[in-house]
This record gives sequence, C-alpha cells and structure tokens, in this order.
Amino acid sequence: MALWISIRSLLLCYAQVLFSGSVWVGLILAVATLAAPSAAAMGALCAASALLCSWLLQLEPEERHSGGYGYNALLCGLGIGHSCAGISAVALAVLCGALCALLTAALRASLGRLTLPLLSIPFILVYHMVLAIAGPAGIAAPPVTDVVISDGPALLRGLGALFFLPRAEVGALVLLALLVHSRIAAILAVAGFVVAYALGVGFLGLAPETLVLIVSYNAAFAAVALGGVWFVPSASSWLLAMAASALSTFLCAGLLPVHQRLGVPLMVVPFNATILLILLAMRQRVRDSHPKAVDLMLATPEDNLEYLRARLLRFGWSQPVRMQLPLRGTWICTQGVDGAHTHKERWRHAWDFEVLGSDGKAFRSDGTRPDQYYCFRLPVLAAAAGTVVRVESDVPDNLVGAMNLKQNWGNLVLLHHGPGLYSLVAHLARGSVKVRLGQVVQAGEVLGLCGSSGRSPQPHLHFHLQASTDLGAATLPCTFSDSVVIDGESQLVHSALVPLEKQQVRNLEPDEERYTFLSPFAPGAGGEWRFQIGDREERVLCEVDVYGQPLLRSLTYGTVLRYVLTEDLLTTYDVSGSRRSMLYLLRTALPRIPLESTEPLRWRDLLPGRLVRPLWLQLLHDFVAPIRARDGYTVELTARRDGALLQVDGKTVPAGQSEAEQNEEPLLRTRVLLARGLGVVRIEVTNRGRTLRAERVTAPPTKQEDKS
Amino acid sequence: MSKLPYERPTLVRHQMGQMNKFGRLQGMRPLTHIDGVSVADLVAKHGSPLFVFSQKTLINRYRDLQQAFSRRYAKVRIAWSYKTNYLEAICRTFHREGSWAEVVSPFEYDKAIRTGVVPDHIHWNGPYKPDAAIERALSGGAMIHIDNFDELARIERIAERMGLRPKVALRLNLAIDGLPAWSRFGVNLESGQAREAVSRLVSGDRLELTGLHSHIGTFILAPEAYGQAAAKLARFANEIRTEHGIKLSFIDLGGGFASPNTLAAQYLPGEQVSPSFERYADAICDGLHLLEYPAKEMPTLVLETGRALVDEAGFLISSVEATKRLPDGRRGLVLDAGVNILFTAFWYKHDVVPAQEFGGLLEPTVLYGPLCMNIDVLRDTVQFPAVSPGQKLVFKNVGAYNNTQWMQFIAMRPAVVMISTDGQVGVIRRAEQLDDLASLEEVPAWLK
Repeated sequence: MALWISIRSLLLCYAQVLFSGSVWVGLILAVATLAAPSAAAMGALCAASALLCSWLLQLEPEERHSGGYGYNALLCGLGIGHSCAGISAVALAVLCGALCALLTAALRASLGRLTLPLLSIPFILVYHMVLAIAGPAGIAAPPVTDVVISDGPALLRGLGALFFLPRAEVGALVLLALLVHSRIAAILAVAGFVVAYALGVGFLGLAPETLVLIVSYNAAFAAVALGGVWFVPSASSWLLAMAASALSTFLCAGLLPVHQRLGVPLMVVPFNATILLILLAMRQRVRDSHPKAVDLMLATPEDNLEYLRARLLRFGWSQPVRMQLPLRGTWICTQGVDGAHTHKERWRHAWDFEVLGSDGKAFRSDGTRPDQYYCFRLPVLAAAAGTVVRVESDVPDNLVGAMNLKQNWGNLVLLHHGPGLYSLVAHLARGSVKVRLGQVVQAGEVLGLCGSSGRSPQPHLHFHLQASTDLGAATLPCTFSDSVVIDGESQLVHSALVPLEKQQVRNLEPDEERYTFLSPFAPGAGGEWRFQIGDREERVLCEVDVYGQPLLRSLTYGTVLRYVLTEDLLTTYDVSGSRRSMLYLLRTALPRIPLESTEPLRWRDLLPGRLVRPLWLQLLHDFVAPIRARDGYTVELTARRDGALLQVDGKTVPAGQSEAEQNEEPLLRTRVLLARGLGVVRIEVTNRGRTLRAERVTAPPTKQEDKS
Repeated sequence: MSKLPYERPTLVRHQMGQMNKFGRLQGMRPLTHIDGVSVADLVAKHGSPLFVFSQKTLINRYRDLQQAFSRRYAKVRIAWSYKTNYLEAICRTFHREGSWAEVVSPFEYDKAIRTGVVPDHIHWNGPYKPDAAIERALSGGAMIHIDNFDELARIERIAERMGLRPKVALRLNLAIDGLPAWSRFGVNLESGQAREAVSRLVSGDRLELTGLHSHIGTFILAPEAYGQAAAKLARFANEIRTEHGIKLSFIDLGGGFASPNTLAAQYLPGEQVSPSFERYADAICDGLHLLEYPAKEMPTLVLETGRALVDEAGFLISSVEATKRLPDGRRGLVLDAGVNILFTAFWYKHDVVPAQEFGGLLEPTVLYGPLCMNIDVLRDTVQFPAVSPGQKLVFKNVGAYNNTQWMQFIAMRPAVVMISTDGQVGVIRRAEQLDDLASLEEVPAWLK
C-alpha cells in the first residue's frame, strides 16, 4: 500500500507539470522522459527526494500525495540530468529535490496569501543555482549536440523541450498526455503555440530554433493555464489564453537578451511571469465573468466547465444566499426589474407583489379602501435567515391613490443576510411589524403584514436586495430559488426565478406526503438497496461521507452519486465512476423532485450531455464544448400518485418551447416509481428508443416490531 | 313598430311601515344563461327539472378557499366533504384540484376509493365505524378520527390483530361563546374528557396520535367562533406536546362555513351577511398562531369545507306548471320541482329568479312543488314577477346537500348536468327511470 502511494505520488509529480491529477498522464510523461534514460533517472530521483523530504518534514499529506511537492523537483532533476554528469550530480539532485520541497512549502503559503499560485518558481530558483555552481564544481556535462538539433514538427519538439527533450517523439507523447488529461487543454496548447509561432516568426523576428526551444512551451502552457485551469473554458477564456500566449512570446523576446547577458537560460520564466501578471490583473475586476474565474480547483478544464454550467443552468445562483419569495400563497408580480413606475436606474432590481381574486381584480367591491385589497394585511415573510438591522412601523397607511413621499419606504424591515447582502420589505401595514431590531429570524418567518405605507398608492409588497444598511441604497439582482410560476392551469417550478410583471408566483409548499416516498434518502436512514438491471444485480448503499454530505455508493461498481434532501426538494448532483451502475439511470431519471404533492406541478432540469452521450462522442465533444452556449438536454418532469406508488415521469423538451409546439417523440423518456417508506422501486430510461430498466430486488424486511 | 308582448295584470296590496322609509330595493334580474349556456337549451335537451353545476365556479371557489388560507398559513389541506355532494364528477373536480376526501360512512369510503382517491388521502369521521370498515381503513392507511372511547378501544384491538401501529386523529367538541353546544360528536375538551382520551391513547401504545379535529357547527356566520376553536385546539396541542411529547401533523377545523344562502330565520340576505373565506382565514390563522411549534414543523391545517365550496356552483331549473290566485290575494305557482329534490328549501329562503326576461311589477308569490303534500313549499311568499305556465325559473345556490339528501318520493329524481370550464355540457347523473327502481324490487313467488 505504502509502495503504491509512493509510486502514485511520484507519477503525479509528472502529471502536475501538465496541471493534471491523473496517474495515466503521469505514466505517459514518465515514459516520454525515458528518451534520455540518465536524465530520466535523475528527474525521478530528484522528485523522490522532494517527496521524502516533505514526508520527513511532515508537510501536508494531501499535497504530497498529489505530487504538489515534487513537480518542481522533477523538472529540476531533469535539468540536472541534462546539464551535469557524474556521481556528484546525483548528490546534487538529492539536495536540490529537498530544496525544492522546502521552497515549495515556504512560497506556496506566501503566494497563497496573495491568492496566487506557486507555478514553477522553485524550479527556476533552484535550477539557476545549479547552473551557477555546476561550472565551478566541475560537474557540468559536455554539451550534447544531437539533442538540440533534431527533425520533426516544431510544435512537438517545442512540447518536448519542456522536459529538456526537444524531440518530436517526446513531444508526441506530451501531446498524447495532454489529450488524455483534457481535450480542451490540448487544443489550447496547440492554439497557443500557433499564436506564438506566428507572432515570433512573423513579427518579432525570432529564430525558429529559439521558438522551439524557449517560446513554444511558454506560450502553449500559458494558454492552457489561463484558458482552462484558472478560468472556466469559454470563448472569452480562449481569447484571454491567446492574449497570454502572445504576452509570453513578447516576454520571451524581451527577456532573452537580458538573460543572455546574465548568462542564465530563460526557461519557464516568461510563463510564470505571464500567469502571475494576468491573474493579479484579473483579480481586480469588478465583476467576475467573461471569463469566469474558477472558484473550486477541480481535476480538468472539462470538469471546471461542467461544474459552472451545472451551477448556472441547474441552480442559477446570482446571490450567495438562497432566497425564497417573501410571501405565502400565490401573488402576482405587478412591477419587476426595470418596471414602468419606480423600479428604475439605481433601484431597477426590485419587485412589487399583489394578490388577485378569481375575477382578476386586486380588490373586492370598488377598491376605494385599503382593506378591500386582497393583499392587505397578509403576512410578509423573511426571504432568508438573517438579522433585523432596521425597522420602521409607525408610518400610517395611505388612502387608496395617496402617496407619502417623505417616508418613501413606509413601514419596513431590513434584514442582514451576509457580507454586503441585505433584503428590504417595504410599505408594510402600520403597527404590523412583528420583529425587533437585532432579532435573528429564520427563512419564512413572518416579519409583518402587507400594507400601503410610504410611496404606495395602493396596498402592495415591495422587495429588493441591497448591499448596505442605507435606505435608498442601490438594489442588487436577485433570483428566488425553487419558486412556482402559475400560468392558467400550468404550474412550473423555476429553480432560479426572476419574477416578471404579470407573473403569478408562489413558493414551493412542501408536504409530508411526498417526503414519505423519499424518506429512505434522509441522511442517516442508511439502507442498502438491491437492484436488478438485466441479468446483473447491483447493491447500492445510502451513506454520509466525512464532510457530512449524503451519497449513494454502488457496492458493486464503486460509482458514487451525491444528492441533497432539503425540506423543499431532493436534488441529485454529480455521478462519478463506472457507467455500468444504475446510479447513472437514477441521476438521469431523478435530477430533482419537489416535496410538494400538487399534481399539475411540473419542473425542469438540465441533464448534462455527458450522461446521455457515449464515451467516444463525449471525447470528441470536449473539443467544441467551451464554445457551445449550452450543453445538455432540458428535461421536464411531473409526478403523480398511482395507487400506493408515486410515479415521476420525465422527457426531454426542446429548450424554449412549450409542450404544445412539440410534436416529435422526445429524445429521452424517463420514469421512476417510488413506494412509501421504500424509496425507488423501479427506474426506466428510454434513450432513442432503447430502454434501460433497473428494478428493486427485495423489499427491506417489513416492520417486525408489531409481531410481539 | 313590432307589437309589444302581452303583460299580465298584477295585483299588489299596498303595504305601509314594513321597512324603513326607503323601502327595500327590489332588484331582480333574470338568469337566462348559466356559464354562457342558455337555460332554455339545457331544458330542451335534458328535461325539467334539471340540476346544473358550473365547473368554473367549483374550481374558482376551491382556489379562493385554498388561496385565502395558504396566503396566511404555511400548510393547508382541503378534504372534500363527501356528504355535501358525492356525485362523482363533483368529487373528481375537487380531487383534481388537490383535495383529499372526508367520509363519514363505509359507503362514502367505498365511493371515494371508486372515484380514484388513494386510501391515505381519506379522513374518516363520524360516530359510526363498524369493525370491517375500520379494518379496511387501517389497511389502506386512511386517517380515522376517533369519536369515542369505545371506538378507541375497538381500533386498538383491530390494529393489534393486524399488527399495525396506525396514525389516528381525535375528534374534540368544545364550547364556543355564542354558539349552541355541538357536543354530540367527539370527546369534550372543557370537561377533561379529551385529556383523558389522549392519556388513554398514549398508555394503550398502539395508536399514534397525529391530528386533532373539531367541528363547531354548521352555517356559522361569525368567523370569531373559528378563531376561538382554533385557539382552543392550539392550546390543547401545546399541552399534549409538553405532557406527552406528541407532535401533531395536522389540526382539522372541520367545516361549517356559510354559503351565500339566506337562512329561513335570517332577516338580511345571505349574500350580504355570509363572511368571505378571507375573514374565516384571518380568524383561524390568528388562533393557530398560539401553537408553540417550530416554524418548519407547524401542523397542517385541514379544512372540511363542503357547503361553501359547492353551493354557489349548483342551480336548479324548474318549469312553471300552473299559476293560481290564493284567497289571501297572493299568487301561487305550481312548479315541477319540489322539496323531494330541493331538500334545502326547508333550511333556506332560496334565491330564485325567472329564466327569461320579464316585465311588470313584483307581487307576493308562493312557490309550490308538484307533490300532493302540504309541506311541499319551496318559497313561502317571495316578491316575484308574473310568469306563465311553461316558463322556467332558476334556483341559485343549491349545490350543497340536495344531491345527497333528495328523495325518490312521489316522483323520480331528475338529471344532473355539469358545464365544463370550456362550455361543454355533460350529464353527470341521468334522470331516474322506472326500471332503475323496479330493478331493486322483487315480487315473492306467492304473488306471481
């Protein structure tokens, strides 16, 4: 076990050079370095020394196991292997490895404080030192001419040069490793190289050999790092990546004479400088978008892309706190963002709500008194948990048609939800505020009653988010999570709703009934489920991981499906691991289910294309993924009781079309049957006419306690 | 110029000092169409008398009720009171809107199941629950509302025999200021009987108490009465939570909301007096705020509103068979619909209007039914315009209780139709025929 961990850590040092965490990528690169066996041995030794040092010093084990302490040492060792010879060089490699580990630990923390990555700075420092002492110490190797002059495409030789081996066959292996790691990264590397080559030869007048030996990998990896690793792949991140490779080409051309005068090679200095410069600059942006920075470092650019897409398209969070509509039952939005009356300019992100009777009017009889309005004195709720930071409750309610412009907001409650996030409910009824200054309230708690105070010619509720405690501060965009839009007989759940004028809206109204069908998903319910798919049987365990996240784990295939069960809905997240598992079917057929048993309720979700595509098509798709506006299929789901079972049906719908316009057979049809207290009993997924079915094998033993 | 239609002379006795000095507004408009469908066409196609239900009104009333409460309270459930009207089309309309069923007999339970209601969406009330019915209800997962101690013991025995630990509710009766005691059903709260029943239920350890139920009466015109009932139930719920750790999943306030009908003894018209759903909702939700439950665990509010949901949607079309002058000067109309099918004529002063344009003055008129019985009076003296034999009248607000309490007495029961939200007319109960009755009868051999 310890041996495997060590080998794995060593291989990951190789993979880290390409920003990868895959053992296979590491293995391909390790094979590539074998083109110069002695140098390869020196590199491996140096990396091993770094790993050993980090183990002895008890540096973070996670970082050690992922190769983070060793990739600088690996490069350094490869360098020593090519520039030094003799037994003393071996000692030097061991020493340098340890030094790299120390520098990595020291610099990582300091740079981390500036939110900057370490990159290959330790390698540059240590290797420059090595070159300085190699001559005096008499261990410098004789120059090898045949390595430098080699035939083959400039791109491949350039990629090989990163490992001190500017040969086509080495470069081909590096490119293969890049392809295995990420198709997006591979494209970026090639595009970065092309930009550098065109710029270098056509404009800066660099010699082709300089391009191959220095410029190419700097430009290619600057493009990979910015286009896919630190920014989510997209057309804009690619533009940034191309700018980065152009910048690193300029830096190469500019720094080359300086370095030559100093007598040290340029190596990866331009790459490091470019990345740090651009990252520092991009961190100063007001709005993090186009390109969107990666918030959570994941495995590959493809993962970054999918994570962000899932977040935006499935959940669409525009504010960090989940907001519900500040009302109970169905209300109508009478003024939305950029409304006709007052939601303009600094206050454009705001909403007014009223209630309509079944005759379509907001009031009964003639509507000349506030109390004839249906919304008058209805409860107004907290949109999210927070602290009351401002309360006003003495402003009189206006007569219908009158406005109080001196106290514009009327009676109000301002809640603080988090740094720079406040929500305001305004125009409440006089004396109806039920909370005190400083009180902590839960989401959905009653704050007061709807009224008509302040600038309010008729009873209505005003809601907006703002960034400070000041009344009249500029408003912020807001989306309401899991809200229902009612349009005639249709009731559609929106995972992130921005209410539009004339839209009838309400919150989800969860009930216990739906919960009884999903109770086996409750964290701690911890059951083992057995499913039959064709002639195979699969066992699935419902458990909670060390971070407190519930998940389903296939005991048969090791596949993992993460999910969350809240009071409002069950949502399944990512599924990873072997595709043979029924968990892929479950993820496809049950992306989410609201815990509300209103039968006409429909909801939509976005299925990542990955779940439906065969692997070969997915690999091809990766090449174009960043420039596609969206990837995946919109599925629409409904649930209905069928005797003792709950049946959840889903089908793909063309995006932006209503059901009536749809006339062709949907690409995908899904059906899940759930039983009370048992959870999922059957899953069916029909993809292009082919049906996959998973059937629950045995029911858990019925309750024995009553037999006594 | 076309010839004006003939207008029959009307005799009106001059009366002084009956009202205030402005007199009473005598506005009456004919009802020629129901939801856009002509009354004349309906009768031509389906005969007279004819019950007509407006699906649009059913749905609107349901949504009004549902919304009035769910805008004020987080969890609301409506259970359709089967005894008010269990015609399948009516029940289906409500179930499609999401209502559960409230039944009070094995027959109603079977009817609900037949209509397609899942057993665990049924509240079972009432003082009479035979063993076989309890067994069926428990195995299906229906919610039984326990009425008395004997029933409690019986349910426990049956549950034990079946190896179940069912969820049940307890029906309470309570005193409300200003209302007559409604103490026939359930266990009494004030006397301590309810407390005793809960202790008994807990010590029996066979049933799980998940709901409290009370029904304070019928046609309650004072919303505050519901406020009191809700407050009393809330306090009792707090008490049993503290004492026994029982966390209720629902509180059932029963039914009894007034419809726009005018009670026989009521002076002002019901349309002015009957409170809106909003006023009942305000009172009940205010009362429930006394519940000391965490916000997310508040029990569901269950409503068993019947009359106020269905009354307005029902119309009865009747034809004038004859007119006569009574010795006291009043006019009498003989109609083809009597108290045999309009049972609620005993309770209300039903709002009735001609189904065609009319002219002339209103005169005091008595509306008689077709039965050869003295009790068969549908309205005793109403100001009514002159109508001729063959013309039609429409009784409004007759949706509640008539189609369940009507009797096959002297005459057959007529057809019932429903007008859908998009204007289709469908028969939801065909007119009875002699064969229907004859099929139940048998003639013993010695009479053949």
